[in-house]
Amino acid sequence: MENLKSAEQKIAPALNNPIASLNLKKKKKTSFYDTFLFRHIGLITFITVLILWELIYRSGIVNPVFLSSPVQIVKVGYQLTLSGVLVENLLFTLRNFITGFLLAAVSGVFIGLIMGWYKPIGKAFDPFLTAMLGTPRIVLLPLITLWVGVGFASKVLVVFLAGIFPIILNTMIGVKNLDPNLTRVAKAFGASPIQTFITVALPGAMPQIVSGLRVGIGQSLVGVIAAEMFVSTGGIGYFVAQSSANFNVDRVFVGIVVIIITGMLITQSVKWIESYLLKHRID
Amino acid sequence: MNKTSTKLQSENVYITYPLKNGGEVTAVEDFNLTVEEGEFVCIVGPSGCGKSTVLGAVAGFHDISYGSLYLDGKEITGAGRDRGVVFQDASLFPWRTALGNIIYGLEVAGVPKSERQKKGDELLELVGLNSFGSHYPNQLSGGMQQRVNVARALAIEPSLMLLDEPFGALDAQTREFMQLELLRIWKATKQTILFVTHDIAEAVYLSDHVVVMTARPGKLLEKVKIDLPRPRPLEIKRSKEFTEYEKYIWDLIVTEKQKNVV
Ligand SMILES: Nc1ncnc2c1ncn2[C@@H]1O[C@H](COP(=O)(O)OP(=O)(O)OP(=O)(O)O)[C@@H](O)[C@H]1O
Ligand SMILES: [Mg+2]
Repeated sequence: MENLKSAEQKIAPALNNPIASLNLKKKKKTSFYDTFLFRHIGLITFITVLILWELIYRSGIVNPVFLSSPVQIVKVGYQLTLSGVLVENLLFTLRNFITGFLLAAVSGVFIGLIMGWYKPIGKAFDPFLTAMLGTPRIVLLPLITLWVGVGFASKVLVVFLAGIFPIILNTMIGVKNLDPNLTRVAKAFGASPIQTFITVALPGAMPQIVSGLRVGIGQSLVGVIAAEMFVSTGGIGYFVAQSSANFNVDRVFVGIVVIIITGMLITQSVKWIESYLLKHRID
Repeated sequence: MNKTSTKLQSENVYITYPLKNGGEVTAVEDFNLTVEEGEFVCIVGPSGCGKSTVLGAVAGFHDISYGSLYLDGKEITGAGRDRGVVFQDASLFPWRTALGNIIYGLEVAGVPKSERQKKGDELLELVGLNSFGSHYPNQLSGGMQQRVNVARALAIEPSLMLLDEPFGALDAQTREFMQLELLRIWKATKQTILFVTHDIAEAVYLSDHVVVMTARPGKLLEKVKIDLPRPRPLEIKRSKEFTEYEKYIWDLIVTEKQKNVV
């Protein structure tokens, strides 16, 4: 068998080669798609926009009370980093975010697995889930502050509620759509229901779980920033809201840029986690 | 043969499926079969005659509605580790490596890790996949995947192996090679095998007995003893005796099909 396979592999390039080289010759003419411009078009556009922005700012067309500029953002951002204000606020936000999201991830996956596996339970809680998914969870904020005040717990709770429902929903769908062939294999090998749950349902639903986490993490991030803007005495959202109230437009922009970068870093780390959890899918 | 060496016994087995409209359809009717220990028995028959249904009942996936099935003299009441099942395809866990798939049954049975590992390595060797233990199913060819499938079923050292068209999805060449390999593994493990196939040549080549079923509702039409010497090289498929068996069984099935049309 091994021999057969390696023989196949040896023959394949020889078979494909003449055709492949023919194609190459035909396409040799450099098209727009091969140029430096096209390969870096995203970056080039980005830099162009920044330059235009800077020029508009410097021309004085727009009142500087309302607009900052790239150079200003870097300058003010640098000062705020040195003074420790940015780091302090960022850490504050991350602490709320990470605590809330970890709680949401663990309990969301657990609840989703149960709801997917035991159909009656899934069905029973479905209206609740639908209602929550269709609502921006931030509307619960006034209620939350009423219950737990404006401290750490309120932000954690907002992050938790913002993230958990998409995680539950996706996990549940993943379990519901399990390949029945694979559950039958578990049965054939005498796996108990719990064993089937752990060895088939959990890994089988993993792609959906991961996409639930991806949606959940985005919504949690929205949750934490929004909560900080409305009810807080710290955090990057608070910093932006505060700066806005003080008409300090440079600080507002710095805060927004920090949030954007944080969001991008988080998205990237989700991709890493994803490729780790789903490593069997990568060939 | 004496009674103690009987592996599987099917007595007047009826199997029905419920229909959506509340009625039921009889898939298998009055099915009688005895498989002796160490035998290789193939089931052939027209499509939809109930081959998979019989195999599934022996595996314990579904109940029989009448009659009884005995494995090693004990009545079959459900699925269990005394039977190793090889499914047609897409039944390997895609998130487990070849080795991880092979030792699945041992893991579920609570066999200690070191022992699992040892057994897994032995089986990889047996099915000729020594260097592929850490490959995921999507990195293996169809033939290799079915080797893993066979090894996974063998790992639990079942009393009876059940295979439902395990080579159905393979190309003709790989399929022949896998038949040869299966006979080698069968000889090495002294297993008893019940094997379902569409392919008459495959059945004749592999079997001690070929069980031909009637069209639905499936009954045992004839149990054909294959008196070809073993070991059987692939060339035997071109011998006169072989083609005679093939033609004989083919005629049985064609007559069955025509009966169904009329
Ligand atoms: N789950 C089911 N519900 C209702 N009828 C079924 C079900 N499974 C099988 N049948 C019917 O029972 C009969 C036997 O099916 P079975 O799958 O055992 O046939 P088979 O001989 O394995 O066919 P093939 O050669 O095509 O695999 C068929 O006519 C089929 O329509
Ligand atoms: Mg079938």
